[in-house]
Amino acid sequence: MKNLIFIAFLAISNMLFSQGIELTVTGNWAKDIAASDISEAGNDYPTSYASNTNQTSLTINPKNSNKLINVYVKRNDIAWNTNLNLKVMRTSNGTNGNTNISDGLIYQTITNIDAYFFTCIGYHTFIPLQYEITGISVVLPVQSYSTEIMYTVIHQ
Amino acid sequence: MKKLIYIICGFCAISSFGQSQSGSINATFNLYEVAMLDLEPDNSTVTLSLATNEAGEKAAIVNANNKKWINFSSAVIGNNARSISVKIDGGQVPSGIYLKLSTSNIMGIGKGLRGTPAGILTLNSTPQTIVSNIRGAFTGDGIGNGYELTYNLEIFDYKLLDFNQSATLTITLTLSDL
Repeated sequence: MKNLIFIAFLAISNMLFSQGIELTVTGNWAKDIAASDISEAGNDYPTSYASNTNQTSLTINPKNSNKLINVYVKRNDIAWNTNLNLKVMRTSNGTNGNTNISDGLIYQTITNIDAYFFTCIGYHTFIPLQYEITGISVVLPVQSYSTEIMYTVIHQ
Repeated sequence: MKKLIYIICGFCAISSFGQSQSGSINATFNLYEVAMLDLEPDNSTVTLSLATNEAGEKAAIVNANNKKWINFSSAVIGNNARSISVKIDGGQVPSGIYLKLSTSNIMGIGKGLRGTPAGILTLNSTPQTIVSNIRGAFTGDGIGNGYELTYNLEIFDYKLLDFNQSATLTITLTLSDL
């Protein structure tokens, strides 16, 4: 009986302390590539397009944990072309004044494999992310190109 | 006791797996059809004339500025193709002569499937293809990029020539789906 109570105690305390990190990701990027972007007949589209500096926001809530959190990024293609190169960067620390965050401040290519993006400790609200796409060209078949960008937070 | 340790380890493992979380957004880029055509250095008038220095000599064709360049940008759905056609849209070629148009091979810094030139054609009021099979492509902008067009006159019947006759023609080039 004593053992049972002890196990129950462990289970409950484990549940309380092991609550996962809460991650909220908001802000799709949908971009119309218009013919008017071509400055003159004979030219191609601009070399790159950048999103708003806060196109996507990440809110990371580690629920009172002060462990280091690593953020990873990858893409899952829906309709894509290998000539397209999508990059992401973090443009600030977020809105709640927590400066315990590093890396991710220069563009990095998002591939189909999870790649380290940045690291932080504690609660961060609305960490703003900006994207850049290169490789858009009139040479590509006309269609919509789409990919899912997935962020994963993991306690180190 | 062993059992207890296993149970504790189990909970710890579950706890570790619970420490990651994912979220995602979508990025979408909508591309549209593009069909842009331009003449370089400009669409100013091309002047062609016939002249003789001496009676009895063959008439010489004087081509002062008879060249233009076609620049284009084209984006197509799937394997659709486009062509560039030319026709005389206004005016009549003076009697006794043909107005010829020669289209060069593709030149310059462009990329993509920029088509196949038709060579030399005699222009009339019916649209004729000068470049076929253009797909997703751009030629580059300015002189030296794309296709060079050269206009020429060819006398086919001397007795029909009237040296007091001149004509202004409007020539239209169109980039269109096949």
